[in-house]
Amino acid sequence: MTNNINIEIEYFGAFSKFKDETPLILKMPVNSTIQDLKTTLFKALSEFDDGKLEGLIISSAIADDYRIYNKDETISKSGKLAILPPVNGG
Amino acid sequence: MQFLTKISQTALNIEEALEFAQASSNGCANLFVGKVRNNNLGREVLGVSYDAFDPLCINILNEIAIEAIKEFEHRLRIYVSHFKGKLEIGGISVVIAVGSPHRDASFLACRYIIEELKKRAPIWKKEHYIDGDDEWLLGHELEKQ
Repeated sequence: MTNNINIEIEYFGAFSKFKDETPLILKMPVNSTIQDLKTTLFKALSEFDDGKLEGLIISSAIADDYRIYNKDETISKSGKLAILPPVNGG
Repeated sequence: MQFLTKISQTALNIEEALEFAQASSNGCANLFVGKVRNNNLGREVLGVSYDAFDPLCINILNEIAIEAIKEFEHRLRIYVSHFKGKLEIGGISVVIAVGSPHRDASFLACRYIIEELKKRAPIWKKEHYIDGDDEWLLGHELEKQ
């Protein structure tokens, strides 16, 4: 039996247009990688794909309130994660 | 505390920044003020909206401040504030003040902080153009390899 976790996605910057949608909860197998999360996120948002969405997700990072995750890192528990497009503050 | 970092949804305060950077042992302070300009890549800009992931942003700005203190001068006093929300042309988007016993470390640290902020802080800007269009700008990728 596969144990699943639920990941709620927070949106910023170019992903802000998705904030108006129902909060997105991704159900994934425990110990999925950050890369798995991105693939699942793209599938979940594919109906909104404007031809640029996949590239934007690939170039984005996954983070929580404290740190940015490595691409190969695994996620072991449910919670909230943010998808962060390329930054340009200042 | 030797540094203060924040994300603000109200107008940034230059006097507050310089006051924080002040110390009786400091002989100078370096001030960087970032503002919204009226053009970018040939397009006329009316204003800019800023978004930020506040808790992570504060953590990263704190890291950058600590790096500057370790690298340039252990007595630096550092203030960094970034705006979140919508600004018109001339609006202040970021204020950095660095107080130091001597000018060299102050200049170097101030430059280091703004360059690292632009590459590492989770902050985004959406430009609003005169033709009614708007666009989120893409910059530096954050993902660790």
